[in-house]
Amino acid sequence: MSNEDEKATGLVPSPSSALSHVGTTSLAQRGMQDLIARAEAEQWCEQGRIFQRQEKYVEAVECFRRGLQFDPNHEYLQFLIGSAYYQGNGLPERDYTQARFWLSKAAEQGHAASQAILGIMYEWSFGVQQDYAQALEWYRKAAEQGHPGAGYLLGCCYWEGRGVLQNHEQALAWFRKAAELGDASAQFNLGVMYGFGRGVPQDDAEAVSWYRKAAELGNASAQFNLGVMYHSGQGVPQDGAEAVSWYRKAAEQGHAGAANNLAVCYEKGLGPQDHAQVAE
Amino acid sequence: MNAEIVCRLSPEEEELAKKRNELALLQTELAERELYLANLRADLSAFEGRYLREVGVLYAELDDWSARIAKVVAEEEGTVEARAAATKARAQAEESYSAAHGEAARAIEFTPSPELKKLYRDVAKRVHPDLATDGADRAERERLMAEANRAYQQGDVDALRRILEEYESSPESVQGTGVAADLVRVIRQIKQLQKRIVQIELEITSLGASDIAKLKVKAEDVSNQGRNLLAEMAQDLKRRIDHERRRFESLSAKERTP
Repeated sequence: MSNEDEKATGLVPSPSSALSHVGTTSLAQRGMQDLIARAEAEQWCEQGRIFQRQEKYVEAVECFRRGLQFDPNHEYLQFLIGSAYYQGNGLPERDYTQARFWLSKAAEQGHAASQAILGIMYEWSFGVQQDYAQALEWYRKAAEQGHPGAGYLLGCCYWEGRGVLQNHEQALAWFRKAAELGDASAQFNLGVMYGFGRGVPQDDAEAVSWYRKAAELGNASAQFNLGVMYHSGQGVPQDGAEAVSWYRKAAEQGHAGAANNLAVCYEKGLGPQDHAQVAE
Repeated sequence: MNAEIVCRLSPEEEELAKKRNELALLQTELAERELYLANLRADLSAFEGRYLREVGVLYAELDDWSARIAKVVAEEEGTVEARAAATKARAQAEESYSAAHGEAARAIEFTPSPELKKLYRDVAKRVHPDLATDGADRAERERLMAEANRAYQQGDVDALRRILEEYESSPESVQGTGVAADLVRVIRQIKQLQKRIVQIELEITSLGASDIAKLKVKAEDVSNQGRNLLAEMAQDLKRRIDHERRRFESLSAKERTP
């Protein structure tokens, strides 16, 4: 009787798919497990980043490694550990083989910064046979995603005809894109192209505007060139004080030409009279 | 006043009235809990349908690539282990496929109208199989209740109304064969309903502990942060699928060039 009761109560209401489909249950279970694993990986990633900011690189690498055990497909963790090997941070020594292994994984998943570094490794043959065509392809992938540094590097390849037929128009286009995204090297190059009329009609005002952007981002060459423009009054009204101020910024970063020009300016009495600083 | 004609109840009759009252309260409570359970199931099924359509199909695709890779590896290595792994991977891929493309994947969003809910409550209150007094009665109630469940899931108000009418006009619902017999029957019904209420709570607990329910809770949590959990899961799986596809392609390319 009690047996019959149990069977009967089990019949009503009709069974739900939520519990009765074996396959479905396992798919839901996998979804849940994957979510937990990714959350776990995310935590290790964050902890590792904290260690990185505290310059505890050994601990950081350990966190990245643990995170990857939970989610081997975590592209940011792949990038982080790959860059650690690339720079030798938190590891006994730099290891380009391991760097390439991890960065390739992230790059193939579409991680732009990893693609850019991988391109550099191929261009400069860091732990791999030099291969300009491969370098160009990785730069292109990253640049097309809007990675400013990769856009600059791709522009350089076109400018110099490395891994591709020389093409100044393409170089200009990529420099411009990278410059607009805030890459100081590309901004400086654009400034030079306008200043000297290379690949574009000569235009001092345009040159000054790109030098200024790059200079403000701390690019020493751009600071020096901007100083020259003020010094000679090209593209801007001549202004000795401005020239001195930009020379000084470049010189402080070790720019030899800037240090030289700064000394000349002081001799001629341009700018404030603090010779002692200049002599150093 | 009319003191003489007050009908005095015998102790059995008093007990029966009390028990009938108790039964009526239980019927109402049970109907509420059945409705809650039915809605919980419908919500979970709807979410499960979405999950299978948006995420489950991608697991199936991922498993398919893994099975293809396992096959290439098995052909290349030719070992017993590799072949067994390939067979297992293929079986997994097929299981995932049928789960992701099966009946459960067709469940859609369910929002019952107040009228539908009321009718379902009425049916559950009166027709519930645990009110049955004998085997034949129970069979009939189970048939009606199963129909009611179907009708509720489909939002079919007319069908629910028909079930209620059919039940009320059936001879099984006629009661009475003496106070003692009634009392025995009512007490038995009370026990059955109490048992069912406990069982419903257990079912609610186990539904809540299921992975699909956990996923649903998680999805609601992140949706409050303006995120879409299923879309995120799908994106992650697409990446893994890409990865497996590339692995398969590079493996088969190696196969072709000795």
